Amino acid sequence: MLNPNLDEIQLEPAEYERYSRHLILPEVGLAGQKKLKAASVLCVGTGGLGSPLALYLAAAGVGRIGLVDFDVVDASNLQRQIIHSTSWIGKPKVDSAKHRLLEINPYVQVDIHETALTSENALEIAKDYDLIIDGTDNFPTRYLVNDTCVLLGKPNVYGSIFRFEGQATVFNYQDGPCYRCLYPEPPPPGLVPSCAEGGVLGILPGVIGVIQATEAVKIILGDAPTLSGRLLLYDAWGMKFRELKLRKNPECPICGTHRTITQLIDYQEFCGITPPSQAEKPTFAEGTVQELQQRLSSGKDLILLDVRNPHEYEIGHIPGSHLVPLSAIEDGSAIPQIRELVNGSELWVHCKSGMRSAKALGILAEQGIHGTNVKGGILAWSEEIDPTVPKY
Amino acid sequence: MTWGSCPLKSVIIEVITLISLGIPYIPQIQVALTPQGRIMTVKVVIPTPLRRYTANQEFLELEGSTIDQLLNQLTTEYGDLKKHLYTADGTLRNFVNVYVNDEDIRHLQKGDTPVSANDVVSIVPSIAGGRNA
Repeated sequence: MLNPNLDEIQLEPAEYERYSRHLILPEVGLAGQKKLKAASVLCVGTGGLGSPLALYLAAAGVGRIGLVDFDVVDASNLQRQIIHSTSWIGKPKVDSAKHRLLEINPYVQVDIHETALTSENALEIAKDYDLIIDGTDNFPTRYLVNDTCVLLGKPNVYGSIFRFEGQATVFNYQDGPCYRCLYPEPPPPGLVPSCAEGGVLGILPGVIGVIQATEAVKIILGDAPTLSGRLLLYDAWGMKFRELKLRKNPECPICGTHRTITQLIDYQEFCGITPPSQAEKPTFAEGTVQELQQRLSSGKDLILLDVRNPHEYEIGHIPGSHLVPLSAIEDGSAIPQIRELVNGSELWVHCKSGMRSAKALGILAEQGIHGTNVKGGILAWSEEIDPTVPKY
Repeated sequence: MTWGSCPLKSVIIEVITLISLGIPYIPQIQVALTPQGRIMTVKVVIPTPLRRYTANQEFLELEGSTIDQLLNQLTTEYGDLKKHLYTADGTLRNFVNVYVNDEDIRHLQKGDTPVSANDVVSIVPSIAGGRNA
């Protein structure tokens, strides 16, 4: 609860020692520590952003922390998702995170929601928390978190990252702007470079997540100036912080004067993501890594294109493959080279997991060049054919 | 020419005085601009997701006196950027925000917002960040 009756909240003797550095800080003090103990925060996602922020919230003594995540810990998470450890690979992230948080501070309560946040469950899950922290990694969930917060009248502490750049602010707080005021619509799928091509500096979500935790703690303490109305931009490569003004949009469909959104909507549809069953049928064939290996070893006239980026090719590649990054197919510059290369031979195309090669084959088909997509990409090749090719 | 009529007399005295006081001499720099139709360059910050379309350049110095003129020059020089900034009917996309210094052009005069030489224009697209697909 925000602004609780402080007389009703008692710290245990051991908590006085634990929170000593807060208690001697005038801006927190005993009253502030009691506010933290009375507060409840919902962390949506326990990934790159959720990890550091949940660790600090638990350490700070936020009384009840909710964790929403449907995923399991993967080895490739550990480069940045510091709440999880190697021994938890393959186990649910919410269990891993809860275990770690209680080890840091047994005086906090951790409630887990092992599910994806959806239009069906979001209001029900979020209604029991004072504020929501958005640590998600996709546009549909970001709009879902925003709309849930606006409909429930709860602050939304926002953070987002891409490669070396991060954004952070506080939405829907003290009549301030919401996410839709900043970005009325999401980009259509495929227009912005996907994270598979993007990657992220592991430390970046640490910085942004800790900024989110700082804002959450200040909202609980009250009185402090927050990021509401300001969009903080962080460039980890150039090591620069900048801030931009953020204003409420009077035309905002959910928090403006004429509201057209009064309940949660279908966010997959809003973000232009169609379910695979309704998606257009691919215009190219698909083959397994076993079929590819057979064809390669039979000495057939076959051209294998690898459409990943050069630094991914360096990590490992299938012998005899030709590296042509997807970007060079998208901008058309590599089309003549591919046409010359194929020249009547059979064409197979692969990437890391099969998404980018599908995109490449779609573009090539428009140019009259047809080929077969390698299902599962080089990850499947590593898993089923040649384990010496590293998975990444 | 005598010292009395030397045109640089006042400057030399000022420099000597400042040096003797330990103050560095910083001459006033005046930028020459034509009174009408003046051409000036404005710094435009390109965000990480779009740098692949600007030969990885973080900043560009572009000519123009309004946002529309700047972005027009930008998308003329870097053609691949156009579909990322504009919809098919030529309006700026809703997930691409443009700021003059720290103010969103939606709250100024949109594409007609004037810019001058000391302004910094930022393009800030929405990012969702996180999972590796």
